[in-house]
Amino acid sequence: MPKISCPLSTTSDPVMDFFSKVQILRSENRPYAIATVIEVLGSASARTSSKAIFDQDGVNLLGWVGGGCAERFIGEEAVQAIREGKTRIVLADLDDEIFGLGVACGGKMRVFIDPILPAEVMMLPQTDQFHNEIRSLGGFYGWNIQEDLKLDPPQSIEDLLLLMATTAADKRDVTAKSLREIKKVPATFKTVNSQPYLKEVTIVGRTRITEALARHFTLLNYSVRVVGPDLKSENYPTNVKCHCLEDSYEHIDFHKGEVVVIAGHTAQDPLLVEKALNQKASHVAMIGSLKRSHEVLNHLKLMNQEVTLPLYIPAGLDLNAKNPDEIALSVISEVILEKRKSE
Amino acid sequence: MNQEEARKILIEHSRSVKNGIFPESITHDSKITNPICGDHVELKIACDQNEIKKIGFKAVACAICTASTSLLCKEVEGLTTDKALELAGTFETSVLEPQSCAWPVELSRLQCFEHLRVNPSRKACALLPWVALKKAFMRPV
Repeated sequence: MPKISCPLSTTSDPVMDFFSKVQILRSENRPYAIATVIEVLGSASARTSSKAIFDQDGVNLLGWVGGGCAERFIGEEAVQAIREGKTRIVLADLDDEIFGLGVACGGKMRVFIDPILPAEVMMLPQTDQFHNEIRSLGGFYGWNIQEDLKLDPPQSIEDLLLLMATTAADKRDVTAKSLREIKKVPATFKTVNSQPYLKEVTIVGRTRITEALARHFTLLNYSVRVVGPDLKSENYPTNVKCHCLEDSYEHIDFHKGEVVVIAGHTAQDPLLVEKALNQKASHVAMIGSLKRSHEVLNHLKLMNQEVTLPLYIPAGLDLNAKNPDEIALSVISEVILEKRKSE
Repeated sequence: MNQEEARKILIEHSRSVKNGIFPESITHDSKITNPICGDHVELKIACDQNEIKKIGFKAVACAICTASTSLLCKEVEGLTTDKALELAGTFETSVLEPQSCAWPVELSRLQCFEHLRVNPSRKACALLPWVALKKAFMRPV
């Protein structure tokens, strides 16, 4: 009697398989798109949360979002999403046999398509002194770092960070100027840094951005304090002082001369900015949108005024930052430049 | 032609009573299947001195593919093989063009397919029978 091997794998886990495939594609630096069914109306071949991975030719590499015509349609949309580098939400009409997809399931499916492009190539100088920092930061930024022997190596960590910021800005064809200038914040900024910059920073918030900021300031040997609710100290470098807030932010005090970065994205932000300025911080930056900058200016009664305070809203340089670590790079680069101007 | 007029024509031809009726003596035939969706089209043609005298079809396919096959047969019957192939080329080009391009006058009876330009995934459905036509004339039976 021949043995029949069991067709079912005892270790199969579709979720693990899915993310393993994503990891493999990432390591191969290939573009792909993840299609996720986010809504089903009536009858459809897939369910909400069904996912599939498509390559740049629209071929389904793993997963299920429907068969036949639905899969072909979503594959074609995935090709476009990858080509444009933009997400899209598409409606798969599985009801209209003429102008829908031609299958008569009797329903519709809304599908979110998210293209994942290969890591951006960034050319940086070869340097033994900062090799580890470049590789580590490049990993956080999601860059594909290539060495250019023609470039002069940076002389300091500050120079390295500024170089990485300008490299990103050049690659993306953006200005690397201050965001408060680019976004046309309605005030005239003539920053007069009356306080010398101390190598101390207080970061307010509890998000991935605060973690990234803490990493970057630690690289520059700043004394770093993070203040926010539910902070997990294991997410921060060991020398960072984590001050877990039990209640409101009004009990936070700032030190004269320190750098303050408000990254809380809360209603308290304008009050914290005001307090940091009153307590003579050397540099007060708030991460946020143009609209949030308006809120701060209104709160401080500085709308359309000449501002001579060390106020940086929105914080950072124009790098077209794509993730929390690039946002941190943008913010710390602005701090470095302003500190150098004040010296 | 607006979408509702196009829809009416396409529904009518997708339910054509001529589906499955073939001419008696054939000179050219072909079968083609789209493996992704399973659309299957067969054409059987009776030519006389390069003129298409009769053409029959069988389509086990979606509504667009079936309608396209039915309309193809209606259009090419009575044409020479060269004219039929030229029509096939013009139709393919027109379906694949962007919406902004005008639909050719010589394809006015097939203008219902102009609305497929917004739905790229259905273009393959409309084009399948025309590929079958080209395949049929590659060699006689």
